[in-house]
Amino acid sequence: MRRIISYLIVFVLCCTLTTSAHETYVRPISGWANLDDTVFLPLGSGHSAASTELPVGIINITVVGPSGDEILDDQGAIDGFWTVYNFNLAEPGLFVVDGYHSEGAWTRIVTAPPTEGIWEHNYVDDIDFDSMDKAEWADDWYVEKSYVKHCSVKAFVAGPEADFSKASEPVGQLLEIVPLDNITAVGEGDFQFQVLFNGEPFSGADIWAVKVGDDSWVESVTDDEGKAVLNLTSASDLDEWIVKSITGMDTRVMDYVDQPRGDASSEKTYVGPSYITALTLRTDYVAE
Amino acid sequence: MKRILACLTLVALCFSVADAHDTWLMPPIGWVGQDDNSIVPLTEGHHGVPEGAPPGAIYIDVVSPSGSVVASGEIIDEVLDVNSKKNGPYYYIGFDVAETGMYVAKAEHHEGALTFIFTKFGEEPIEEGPYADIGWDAMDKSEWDDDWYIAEAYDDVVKFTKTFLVVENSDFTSASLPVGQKLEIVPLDNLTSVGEGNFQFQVLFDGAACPDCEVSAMKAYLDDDIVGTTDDEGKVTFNLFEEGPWLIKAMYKDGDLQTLDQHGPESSENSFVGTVYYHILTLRPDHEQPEAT
Repeated sequence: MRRIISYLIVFVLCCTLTTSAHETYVRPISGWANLDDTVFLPLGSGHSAASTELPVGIINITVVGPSGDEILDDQGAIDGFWTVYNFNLAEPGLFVVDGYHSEGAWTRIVTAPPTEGIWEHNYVDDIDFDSMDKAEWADDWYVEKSYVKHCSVKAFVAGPEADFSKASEPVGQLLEIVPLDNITAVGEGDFQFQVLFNGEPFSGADIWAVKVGDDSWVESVTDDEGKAVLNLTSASDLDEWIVKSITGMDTRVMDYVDQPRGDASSEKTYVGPSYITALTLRTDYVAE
Repeated sequence: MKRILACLTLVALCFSVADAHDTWLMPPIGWVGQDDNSIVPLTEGHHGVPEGAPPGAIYIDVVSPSGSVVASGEIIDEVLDVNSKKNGPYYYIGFDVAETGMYVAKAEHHEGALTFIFTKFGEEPIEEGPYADIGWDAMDKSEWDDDWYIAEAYDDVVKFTKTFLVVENSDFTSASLPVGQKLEIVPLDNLTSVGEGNFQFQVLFDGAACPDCEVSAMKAYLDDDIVGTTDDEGKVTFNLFEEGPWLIKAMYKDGDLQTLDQHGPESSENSFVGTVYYHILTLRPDHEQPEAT
């Protein structure tokens, strides 16, 4: 019974921590643009699509156009909790915004199991546990997880004569959500995605979508081909969805190893990279 | 019977008015930080859904907390000045946030002269340019009813819009001060209470209270409007039951009914001649800066 309760607590904790991680996303102000438009690309970080902190750390933003890439690094301007990039839409076609953001490493130390703990903005190998004041910690404290956080973002802007099938081609993000249905069908109901990790289908991955302005999520789990269907039905005339997946504590990506812990603890630690990816989809890729 | 037909026609007229494109400002965020570079996009469409960059003459200004115009943009017949940019359905200008307090973004959009002609009972009116420039004799009226008439001959269609950018929660009360637009909606309650229920507005025309003015509140992207009429003090209250964004819209016609030369042989309808003014106030859900999490 004790074991069951313990598993339940760990399960709830893992779920909570997994879903509460900040994701980064790019939210173009319009899904379509004309030639010579200056396309506006706000990059934010937070929960449920409302930016609640300014993305800091390493940021690389690239716009993949029909005839090449344009790198927009170091060109962002700050506007509230958004870092805003822009590019000139110089040719017809579909443009893919491909971004990477890392705020570095995080380590969760459970100082009083099962739930009480602290976060350190550092990787476990770089934390000097000997110098930490553990007077208030329980004897069975342990390091729950430690990871370098890698966020990728993707969004589309349709110029004239856009070939929407290009949206279903991966851009090579380490963890990537690929929309398999035509992105002009967003809002019309079921929509199929494929989640790739290192370019390969990622099975058993959680995938969520949240409609901007609405905190309720729709969610699914990818099948053996990394595919999942989410119901993106829109009741509004204009909607924007953030679709998200995360490797979390998946042992295909992270190791489960011994790390510093209290004398009375035998808990192991998840260590390794954690990948979060956010794909932004809109219902206005075609001008009225 | 004639009265019923007249009522039906009036209903049709209301629809024609309601179908006019809205013009509004929609910044990507309602609060800003000092030293930020912010933008103010303007678009047109219906129910908060942008449909295209508006035609005509557009003037966008950003007024700083100390009252200076810190950024301006001018777009005339789709030609952008050096300060203006375009992104799909939006024109926008940028500005540097140098002061604390509340920045007011405002715009004035002139569509020019428009004439609306009811040619057939039960159908939408057709839209033509300035009344005086219409080549009436050359128009094919063979399909028109004998009692066709001109509903409105506007010498201009003017659309004002306004919104607020609050710097780090430093001032919310200045939103209740008019900025001097010819037709203007002024929020009387605190911006931070949008989404909490009843919210009072005042509509001003030429700086004076505008009674019996039709006002509507639209939750962006939804089809349903809440409609109200201003009282003797130009005030109206709406239940802003969700955070928004909300677009609050007022219309005022400045002119009179006249008997114009052009109408069907069996029509005795008068035509409205003058200027129609619209105002849209954009209230975002995030004028208050949240705590960073």
